[in-house]
Amino acid sequence: MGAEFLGKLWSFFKSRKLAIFLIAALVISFTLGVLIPQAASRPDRFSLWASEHPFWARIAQALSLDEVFTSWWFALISFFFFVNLFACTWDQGARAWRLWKNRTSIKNYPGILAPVVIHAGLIVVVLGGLASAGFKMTGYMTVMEGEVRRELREEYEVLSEAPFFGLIGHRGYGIGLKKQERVLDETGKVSYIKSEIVVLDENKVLLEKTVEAGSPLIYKGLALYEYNAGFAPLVTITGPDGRELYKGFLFMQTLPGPPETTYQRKNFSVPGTSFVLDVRFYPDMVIRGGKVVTRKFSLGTPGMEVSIFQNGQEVVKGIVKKGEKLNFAGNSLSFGEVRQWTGLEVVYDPGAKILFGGCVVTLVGMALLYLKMRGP
Amino acid sequence: MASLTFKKEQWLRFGVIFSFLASLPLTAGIIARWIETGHFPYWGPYEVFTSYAWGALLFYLVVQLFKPNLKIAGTVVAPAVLLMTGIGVMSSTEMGDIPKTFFTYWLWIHIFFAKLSYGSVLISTALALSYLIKSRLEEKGATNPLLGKLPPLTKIDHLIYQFVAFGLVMLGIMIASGAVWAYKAWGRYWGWDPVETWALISWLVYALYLHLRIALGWKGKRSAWFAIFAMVVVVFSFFGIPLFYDSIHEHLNYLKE
Repeated sequence: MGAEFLGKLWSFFKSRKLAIFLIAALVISFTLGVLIPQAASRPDRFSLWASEHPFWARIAQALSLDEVFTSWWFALISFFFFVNLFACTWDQGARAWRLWKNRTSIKNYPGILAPVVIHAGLIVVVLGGLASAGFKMTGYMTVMEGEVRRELREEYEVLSEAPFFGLIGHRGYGIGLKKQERVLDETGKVSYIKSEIVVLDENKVLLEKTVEAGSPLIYKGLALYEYNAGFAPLVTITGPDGRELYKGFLFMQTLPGPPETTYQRKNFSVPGTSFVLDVRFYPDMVIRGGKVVTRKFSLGTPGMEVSIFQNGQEVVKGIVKKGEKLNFAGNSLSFGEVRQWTGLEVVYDPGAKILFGGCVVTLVGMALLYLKMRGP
Repeated sequence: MASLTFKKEQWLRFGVIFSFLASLPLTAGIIARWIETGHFPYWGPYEVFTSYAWGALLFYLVVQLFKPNLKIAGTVVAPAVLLMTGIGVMSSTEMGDIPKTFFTYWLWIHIFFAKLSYGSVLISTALALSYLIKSRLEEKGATNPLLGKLPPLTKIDHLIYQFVAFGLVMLGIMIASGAVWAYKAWGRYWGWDPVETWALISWLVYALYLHLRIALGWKGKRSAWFAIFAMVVVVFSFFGIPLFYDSIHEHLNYLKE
């Protein structure tokens, strides 16, 4: 009875009709996931859609159509799909093996082997996806010139770890920014930024590479992507009694044009004070007729346009250059040292290579199938 | 199309000759734009439409070298090329700034196989339409010298199958190369972006076609109708998705502008 049931179960799972049903179910699920705004990834879009179509939004929520890719029914379809894929591949592989052993249909063997290769490749793709879902880590950290950050949980400003990433753990490598360079286009605007990054083990340099958008540093599976970059002046605010109220590097965000690249920081609440700063930073400030005219992007004579707010009211607005002071309400603001910084997206994804390997196997199988197609 | 309308079989070869002649200025336009911008034309409506038109026309001409009896596929390919070129020429020709992440050979691979996949989609659709028309005429006992010149229905059916399988392989390479590019650019190979998800849907629909044919024996009219349906799905990723959704495929965000 047990064997009979298992036999029926196996026949059910290796059924091609089930495969067709599941592929169709996946197509419908993906289509719903694209056409209906997904609350998980775009809550703003879903809220807008829900306000315009309250009836359909209620139905979507009731059926988890607003979170298709994390819904229980999508997980169930995916599970059945994987089991069906595995069973079909096993069945086809066993058949191909029998034919190989009996030396029958040798002429058509590539055509018989092709579906096995395609489906085996797809299994590897799914396993790669599962490895990513289980073990991936993505984090964000900023590194300034002259400092070394360590690849440890507490050093990240933003961190996302998959459930089983703890089994692998952080590596603890030192990560430093050696140099940064702005590459300009023919109009003189910043085209992209190159950051020379070093990976260290204690004081030993393990790897040194220039990273830029689309060209990460990869060391033993740990990939460092240049996410953003900019300048960081060391800002000091001094009180009426000469006491230092605040001293720290102010990270300027790089905002690409048009019309030009700007470095700025808005709504920065100064820790320990009631002041809020709006700052636009000029790496090489030239003033003519009371107006800032420079559009250079490399460090020269830096300066800042600063607006200081207190309790929502603008206290002062002015220009301050390196070594100068901007006085306001008995206090003063100045900046001295300017460093460059790079924001790094750090990714560890053991599933990526598995998945790409699976893609290659699948494509080889598909090419084999296509080349061995027999005529009508 | 004129040869089909006026039932002039001898005009059919002019279709291929005119297609070849049309490919010359189109190729010159692509090369000129490439030199002007410094990159293969794929950015913005003008470049996207004209390069897809060029790719489809070139694919049609290459197919003629191997399958000369498929001249009639031009009745679908040529109007599609004309339409795409027209939209491209009448839209903005402004040259936009391309992000640094788009300068990678993975992108060229991605785009090249996208063109091939859309070319094979058009040909399979043309064959599917030919199949449906020819089978209908045969059922009625009517004759058309042009359709009579087409291969037998079983052969057309098999050609649809071949072009769909070819399209599946090309779409697969397009999706895989796009995933590698995304991984190298942003550290993730899949982001459920509307365009990439729709490309996966297109791939699955093509896979469904093959499974229906192999497992359930879907051939003939059902298979032809399904090939036309698959083309609609693929075209939606090209025209429909960029119209309604934000995508990381910035070069396709033209319909909202």
